[in-house]
Amino acid sequence: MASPAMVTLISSDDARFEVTEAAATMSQTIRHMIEDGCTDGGIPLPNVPARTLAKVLEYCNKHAAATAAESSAAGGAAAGSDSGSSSSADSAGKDDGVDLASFDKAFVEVDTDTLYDLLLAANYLDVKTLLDLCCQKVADMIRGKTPEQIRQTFGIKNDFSPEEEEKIRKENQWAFE
Amino acid sequence: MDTSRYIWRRVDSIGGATFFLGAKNCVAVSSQVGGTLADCIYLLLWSYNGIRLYSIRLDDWTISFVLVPACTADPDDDWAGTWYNLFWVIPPSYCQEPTKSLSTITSKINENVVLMEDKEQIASPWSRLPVELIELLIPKLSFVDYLRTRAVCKEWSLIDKPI
Repeated sequence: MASPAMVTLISSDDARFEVTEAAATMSQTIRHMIEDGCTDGGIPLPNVPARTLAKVLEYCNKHAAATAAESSAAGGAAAGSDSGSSSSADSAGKDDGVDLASFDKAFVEVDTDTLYDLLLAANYLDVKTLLDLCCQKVADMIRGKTPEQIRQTFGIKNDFSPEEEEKIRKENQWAFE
Repeated sequence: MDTSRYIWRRVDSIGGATFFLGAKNCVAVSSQVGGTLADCIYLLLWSYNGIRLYSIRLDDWTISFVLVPACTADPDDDWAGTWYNLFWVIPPSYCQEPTKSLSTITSKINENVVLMEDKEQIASPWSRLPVELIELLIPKLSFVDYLRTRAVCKEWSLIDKPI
């Protein structure tokens, strides 16, 4: 098997990351840049600092590797003539799924600042599954909380005047009881 | 200096620019364009033994000066009367830059003022989550959670739930 094609990504603070093209192209933004041939000397990502990019790439590497393993397992199953190999490939795929799900869950167990950075980076880099994962995490953090608890969770300042806050509460009183 | 209203404001940084201060004029040059020292102020000042060129570096707060050689003052001469005529001549290629960098600096000043006034806002960027991300988030919330989310802060109260 040929060694995988590599690309170099450059963070906003000039750190260079060498990753497989398969991992990098999980980002639609980077995929388009590669398609347009803008890869000479590395791909600059002026909106993403190294700390965040490293985290995003950890996600991309894991998912790209899982996808590759899955497709090679599927390929092996297709090549195999007996049903036995096919079922073993299925179970391997399932294990990967469980593994990925627990990876994802652990991946977003971060402080809110990091989560915010990841959310913005996933949006800019257009990594759909990561963006979805981060949004889901934020939604999970909001679920069942009162507005004050939500403010505390995300460190948001209450900028309503008491009158404005009262008005909002009154509009949908039932939701706040 | 906020040139739109001519009020002095305190700033934390001059945004990597180089300032040239004379008695008569003041020029700000982007250090990237001029190749001058970033975050440095050059000041021409007349003193008893001639004209001094002060360099004030804002990065490490050091101040140094040199005498401008050709201008050693003759006490009988009327240097004292003319010191306020000291001015900087900046090459025309940089001259377009000052306006640009001045406006950049002005906007930076405003940013700093905002940041200083509202420290808690810096601590939490969440209230300024881009709209497109809020739109992705809302469908994942139950209706009750959505109503409560809208009651968190002004920015979030403008969220509409897509049907």
